[in-house]
Amino acid sequence: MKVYVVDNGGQWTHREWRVLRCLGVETRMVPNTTPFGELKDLDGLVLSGGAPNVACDGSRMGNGAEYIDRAEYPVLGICAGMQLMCQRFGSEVGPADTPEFGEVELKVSDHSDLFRGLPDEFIAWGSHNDEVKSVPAGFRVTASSPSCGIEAVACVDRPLYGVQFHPEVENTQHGSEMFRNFLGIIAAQRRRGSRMEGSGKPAPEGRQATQFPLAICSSWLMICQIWVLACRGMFASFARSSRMLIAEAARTSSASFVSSTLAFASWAPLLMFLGTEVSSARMSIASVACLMRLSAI
Amino acid sequence: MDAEAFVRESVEAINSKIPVGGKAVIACSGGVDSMVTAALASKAIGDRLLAVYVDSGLMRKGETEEVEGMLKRTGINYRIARAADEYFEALRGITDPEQKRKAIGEKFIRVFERYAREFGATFLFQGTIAPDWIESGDGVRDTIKSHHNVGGLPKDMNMTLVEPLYDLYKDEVREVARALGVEASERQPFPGPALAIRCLGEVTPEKIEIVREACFIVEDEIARSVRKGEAARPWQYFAVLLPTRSVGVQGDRRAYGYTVAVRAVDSVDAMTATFARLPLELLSRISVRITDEMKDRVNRVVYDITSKPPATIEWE
Repeated sequence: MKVYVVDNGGQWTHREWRVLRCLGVETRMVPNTTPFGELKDLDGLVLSGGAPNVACDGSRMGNGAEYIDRAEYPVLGICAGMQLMCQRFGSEVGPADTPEFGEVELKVSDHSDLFRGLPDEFIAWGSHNDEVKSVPAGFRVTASSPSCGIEAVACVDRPLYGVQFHPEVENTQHGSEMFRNFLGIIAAQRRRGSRMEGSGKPAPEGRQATQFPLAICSSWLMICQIWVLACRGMFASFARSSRMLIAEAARTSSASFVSSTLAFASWAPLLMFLGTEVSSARMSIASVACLMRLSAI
Repeated sequence: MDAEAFVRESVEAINSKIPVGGKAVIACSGGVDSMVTAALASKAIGDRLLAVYVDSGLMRKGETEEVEGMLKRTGINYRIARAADEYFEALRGITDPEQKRKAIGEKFIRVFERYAREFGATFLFQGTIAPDWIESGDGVRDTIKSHHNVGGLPKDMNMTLVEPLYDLYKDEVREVARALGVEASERQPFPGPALAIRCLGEVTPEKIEIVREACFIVEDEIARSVRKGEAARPWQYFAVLLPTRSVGVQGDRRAYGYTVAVRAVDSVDAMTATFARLPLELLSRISVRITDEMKDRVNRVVYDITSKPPATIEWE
């Protein structure tokens, strides 16, 4: 899973990278001037916090607005990243009536996405001079605090999320869990994307990775079946003689018995290869059918 | 983090960067960052490394002796540079915290480079960690405060910088320190500019002496309480000499002395911190000891109850 962090010059951008890295995600910090083309094939994106006043200094947020417009994957905006996202959807953003530095008493009103499984109230850490003053169009508010009415938002019909506080710092309770929930949202999106593969949406990378070995094994199985048919006669006599050898070996020496067993056993690696190389039930069934076919001669 | 893997990878990276026969110096303050860096460098290049500790006159009580002991025990080549006079001269008249940091950084390099030249070093190791470069600012980030070890070397130094701990935070550095058996692993963080930034306003030898003593009292009393199980050891704890004088009464006489602020915080990575909830009795003992022992100079003690943000851990 590839989730990059867009660096808007925040003090804790590197911490966002650190948390994602600890959660086992492939991640990098990228400048906010990175062309969207380089971020097109990610699984998710985090827009970091930063010093700029989003309302009047938007140019310092680089290509952030374009990332929000064009991303086909989940995006999480943190602090200034969230303010940019909200502004993009029509919110008014400006100096906070009561800025928050340090401890914030967060009240969660919606547990469906980032706050899944978390308590109704917990401590988060904030550091913001500005705030979002009106709810963006098509979003719902998911958390608030005594000083700040819009602490977290979620878009109704796109996987866009914003938090005013900082889930990436040590002092925010349940910080990693919020990131894990975000990764869960990304994973669900990927699964939906793979099921819609036939309708023309791009298939996730993992599925494409198994198709090539699948093709190889299917071809190999077909060759084997043709070989079996062509050499049916040879096989019949081989099998009969092997059965006789086994019967004889049971009566005579153990060395012959071993060599007969080895003759049959030499087929096992091929069948195991067919059965285990591709993790699909169809291939396993096919290899069992092959086994039954051969032994029926 | 996988400390063992980190050590392996770092040593490999160092060896690929420094050619056979290449020599390096390292600035060693005795803090965990520089001692871990020295341990990694020593593992990679052995006696092609020289550690230099600069006694700037701004260090804590007994620190120079303590660090010399640690360096001796590591077996690394080392030198102690005594430069107190030079530092106080460079700091004369400076009150702005950023200017203080820059003056100290510059003086440090000049003292250090004498030893580097003599040793024939072409590489410089530094124990720079993530918060250092994050807080020093760059193209996108505000400068919260300049860290002495960030900002590049003067061009005429002709040395290549090697910073193996660049992406690490303090908690990760400590894990690496424990894996390497570095003595300094549990030492509390100490700022590069040392006591100069715990002495608000102009730095003078007399004021440094006051804050040195106050810091010692804070550390000593907290250590005692921790040993007795009365308090948890904070992440960082010290005293700051404020430039404010205030009225007091001592032995029926009017007093007009300085104020000392006691600072103790809890943190994991220094990027956020809360003020330590020390027992009031402990704070009382600290206050009494400071004002008794330094009655001519300090007659008031306050406790800093601010988190980071909005404050930073140190005052400058």
